[in-house]
Amino acid sequence: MSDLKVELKQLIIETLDLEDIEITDIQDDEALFIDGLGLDSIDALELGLAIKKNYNVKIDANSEETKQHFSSINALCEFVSKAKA
Amino acid sequence: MDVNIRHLSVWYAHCDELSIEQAVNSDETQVNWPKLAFVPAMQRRRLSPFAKMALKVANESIDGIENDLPIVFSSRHGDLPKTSTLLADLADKNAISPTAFGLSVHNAIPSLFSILTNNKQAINAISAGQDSFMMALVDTYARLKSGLADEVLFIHADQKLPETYLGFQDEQQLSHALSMVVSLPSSKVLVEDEQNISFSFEQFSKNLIDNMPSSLLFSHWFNSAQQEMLLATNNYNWSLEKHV
Repeated sequence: MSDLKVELKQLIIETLDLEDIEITDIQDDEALFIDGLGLDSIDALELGLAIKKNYNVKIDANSEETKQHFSSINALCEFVSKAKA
Repeated sequence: MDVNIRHLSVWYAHCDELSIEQAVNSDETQVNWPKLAFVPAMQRRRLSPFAKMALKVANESIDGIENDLPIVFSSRHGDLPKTSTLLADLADKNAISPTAFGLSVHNAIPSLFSILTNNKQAINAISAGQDSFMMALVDTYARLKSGLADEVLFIHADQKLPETYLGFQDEQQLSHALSMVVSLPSSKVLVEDEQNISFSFEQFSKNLIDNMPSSLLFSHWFNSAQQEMLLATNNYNWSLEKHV
């Protein structure tokens, strides 16, 4: 597992108070929202803010692409590494 | 004003080992906040200590009640630990947490409760300084008298002031929550834990700084054999009386 993926999972767990969930419980290709991990729209705002703070990347709240970036750990990892590059 | 009160439920910090008198002004760094097993884990994770104690007593008060009740929520300071953290973030020009912001508004607690219990009835949220508890009871009475509701779920919660604000305290401090079901007196026989009380108030200015919060004095009186009680706040004198 890449370091960034582990880091992102840790960030999700801490930011969203997922007390009972371990890093190994979150699958790289699993849906983060609604299905899969079961996060909701408030989590999306909270996670967006945390990603912005931690990686200093811009997130467009209204674009369809943003939805895609937040769909799974794989997508989020790709988005953050591209944005940082 | 004349009302029936039943299903009074009270929770306060250290209530598992201390009386209210002992718990008041005590250290609250290590408190066993309510666990709230009735709330699904994904929703429970966002709940602050303030939310947990308020939801716990509210849930106990509606135990055995089938229909959805309108809610009057009373709190002098709301979720001040949360609000003061938000204010500090704002002052430091940090982005504020959307979750914390959403759950720090004054009606957040009764709204959470309405979502958890699928209750679509009206909600009022009241804050009135030292008189928050009693003024919310006046509001409850008005709601009942309007004929729009037969019963009201009354919830009160206040948490010990955060360190930053302790210099402004004008009451004794104890994190606590209280809930009860209020209705107008009728020809029906009172249920086991129900009492008929009347209350009135008159304006009277003074400068009290060390009173126990009215909500705690009320619950102590309600559960005691004492017939009458006089509640003094900085702006009013409240007279309460039980009727047998």
